[in-house]
Amino acid sequence: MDPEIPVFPASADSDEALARMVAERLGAGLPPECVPGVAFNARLLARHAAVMRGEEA
Amino acid sequence: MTMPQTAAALAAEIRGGRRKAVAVAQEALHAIAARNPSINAVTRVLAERALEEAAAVDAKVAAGEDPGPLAGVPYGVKDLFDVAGLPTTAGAGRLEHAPPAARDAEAIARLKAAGAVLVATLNMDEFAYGFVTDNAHWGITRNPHDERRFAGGSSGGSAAAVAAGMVAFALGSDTNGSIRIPASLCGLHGIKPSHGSLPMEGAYPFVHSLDDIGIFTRTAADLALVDRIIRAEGRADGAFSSARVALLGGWFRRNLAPEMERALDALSAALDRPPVIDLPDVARARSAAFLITAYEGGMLHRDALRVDPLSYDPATRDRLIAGAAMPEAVYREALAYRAVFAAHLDAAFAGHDVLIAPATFGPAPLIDDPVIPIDGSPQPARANLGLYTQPISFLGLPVVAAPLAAPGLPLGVQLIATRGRDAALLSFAAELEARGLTAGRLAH
Repeated sequence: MDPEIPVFPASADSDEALARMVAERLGAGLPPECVPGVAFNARLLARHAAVMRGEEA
Repeated sequence: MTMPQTAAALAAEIRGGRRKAVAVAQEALHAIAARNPSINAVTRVLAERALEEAAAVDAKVAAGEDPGPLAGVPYGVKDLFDVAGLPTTAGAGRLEHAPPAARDAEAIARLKAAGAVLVATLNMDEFAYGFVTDNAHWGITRNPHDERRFAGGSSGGSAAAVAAGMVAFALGSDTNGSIRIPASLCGLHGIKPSHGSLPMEGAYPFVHSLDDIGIFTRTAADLALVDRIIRAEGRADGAFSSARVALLGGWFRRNLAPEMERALDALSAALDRPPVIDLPDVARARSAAFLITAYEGGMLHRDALRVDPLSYDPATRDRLIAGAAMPEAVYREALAYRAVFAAHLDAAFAGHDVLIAPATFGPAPLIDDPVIPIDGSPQPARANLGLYTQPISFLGLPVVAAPLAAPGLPLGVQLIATRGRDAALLSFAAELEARGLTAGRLAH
């Protein structure tokens, strides 16, 4: 397993960019009301991936 | 009005002809009418079905036939179990008008064969994705011991209905803590069985790698009684000859509320200060469980989220969407981490039969202040109440949530054993109850 695979690329630093990336992977557009919550949860998953890999306490 | 008797006591009276099942079913329906308006545990009252099932039990008693070990005992089920003739909503408003289930879930069928009487379906977090039972369509289920507080979730309606005395027992499901957390916050016993050991047929899925159905009761004896009826295989493992117990420290002693610290210390003293084990890598295991949940839950709903995302509860929807976009490789990495963490648990169980850990950080959070303190900062209770439960169910271990006999609001511990030792664990829970160290509570 490649431990370097990011959950979401670090380049997606704004909510909009992150939500756009999620929408591309989902294969569908995201309604604007989903953007803040989806971005929050995408960042949360990235943090959990870091913890799982021992990169973050 | 409440239903104060245990399932075992009710069944004994009905089997002995001293009470009528129909009268007991009517009492349960009255208790729901009296208690549910302020607690909001029940989503559908099944009065017609309950009275029919109860009448069938009374007819068997009158005819001298065996009405079953749970004769006439009223119970409820989390809204994700198939009930013949009703839509299975899984707590989702978008499924309120789904086609009705053709037949009962297998667990319900086994309970019916044992004479139990289904009276209600019960509230939950949408699609079981949450730890508080704050449902966008059916509302918040309140804790019967303090209605300003959450009942816990996602099986919060099941816990609240039993704690409020509306039913004698209830079925729920547990993926990351959804039985253990509400059982503890509502002062009940609950079981999350060895993964896959109770029948999942007819239970709406969430995370197939982690999902289990389970049971809420007030007493350990009732928990063993209902478990025995629902369990697919026999219960040959018996009791521990003399259970070797250890407490989990480290991760499991951090972030605790003072009342939980005191309650655990009192339990430790009563158990003659068993050794404390500091499991390594618990944070990594919890995060792996979080990622598995996000990915499998997200993939299950991906097609629906593509076409109709706004029909979901926003708090559930945004978590599912993010999970559905996670790379599969990360999910596989999380699955693979189970073997690493299992080795740590194997080492802990090499010298012990039962590990004890808190089920939650402390008492039920206030609905008006829905956060819990983690490492000094407030975090949403809905996503984080599983701090101590997620690392355990990650490995599919059997766990009994046991309510501590401590003053104040309800607090519970997890009694954890190796896979397949469910019956021995239930016997150990009964021992603790007999010694007065644990006690289920009815909220009057």
